[in-house]
Amino acid sequence: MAYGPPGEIPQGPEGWPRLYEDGNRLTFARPLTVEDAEWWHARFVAPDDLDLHPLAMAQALFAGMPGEPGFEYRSVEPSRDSFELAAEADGRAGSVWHAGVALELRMDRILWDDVGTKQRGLGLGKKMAASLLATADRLKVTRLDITTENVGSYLWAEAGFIPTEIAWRTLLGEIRKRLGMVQGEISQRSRGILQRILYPGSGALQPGDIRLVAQLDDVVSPRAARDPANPTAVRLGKELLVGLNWVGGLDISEGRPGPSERQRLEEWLGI
Amino acid sequence: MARDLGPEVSAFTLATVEPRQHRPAPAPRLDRSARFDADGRPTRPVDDLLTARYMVQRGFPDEDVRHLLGYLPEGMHAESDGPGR
Repeated sequence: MAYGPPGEIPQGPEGWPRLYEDGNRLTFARPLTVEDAEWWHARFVAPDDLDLHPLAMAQALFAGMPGEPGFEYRSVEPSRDSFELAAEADGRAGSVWHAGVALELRMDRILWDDVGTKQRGLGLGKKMAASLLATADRLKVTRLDITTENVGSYLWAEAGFIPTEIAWRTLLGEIRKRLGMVQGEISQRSRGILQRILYPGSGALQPGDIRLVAQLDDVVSPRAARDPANPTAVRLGKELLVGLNWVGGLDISEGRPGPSERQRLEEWLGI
Repeated sequence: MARDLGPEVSAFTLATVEPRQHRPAPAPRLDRSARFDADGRPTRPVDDLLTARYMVQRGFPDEDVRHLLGYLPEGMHAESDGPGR
């Protein structure tokens, strides 16, 4: 996307300062200056008729999420072409969750702090990922980075996200420890696959291997404290990855013809 | 007075063995119910194909692909001329 220089910003109800100050559902950790607002307008409102003023941007990034979330811009940084946004639904509308997003235009990426919630099985992560994909397309951003949380550490690997090399190096150690607890229960061929993944020798790290770990279908006994609701059986991939919070990402560009990482994610999201 | 732990079991062993290791290990089994729909079709064909291609590029044999996915996707060897092949 080509961005023009900051310029005139409409005044009044449809512009400055009304749309760039605290409201019922929106707050700013630091009040925006008119220069901040001009940058915002030039980046997210004027181009291609995006019309994503701060509240509209928040609603787009968290579209489909339940409850009545409140939004806070933790930072708006014209000098870095970026902002950070946090959202929290406090239960008044029957839903409790929190999540965070940062947009870094110079890095061509959205950074996502995965949804944190105690309400399982609602598909909140999937809903939010779909919203992020749609908004990334509007902004022509081609990378989605993630910090996983709890069960998301398994689910997002299954969806196709891969950790950074540093994160994968740490994950290898943790997965080896967990495997030691269950390897007497798994098939010989799964053991062989894991041996190759977990002990790569002098070869380069292969963070994409996390997708193979996530796909292991062996049924094992869970660590009781970690999954008390399911004391009898759990898939090996889940057992090895849940709770190992990691950072990673995914290329979400449409890419060349043929199956792509983007299509893999859309397939997993069911969109 | 120290307990006689016998020649095979040391105090160190007793202190470090996890309780679940004392349980008899169940026979290995796989749960592929999420991979195929009621008609036996793959539920995630794009993921299966990309995973298969990745495994081939990493040098995993077809038997490992079949084990992980439950089948060999068509076209899995296309565009896969990486190491090990």
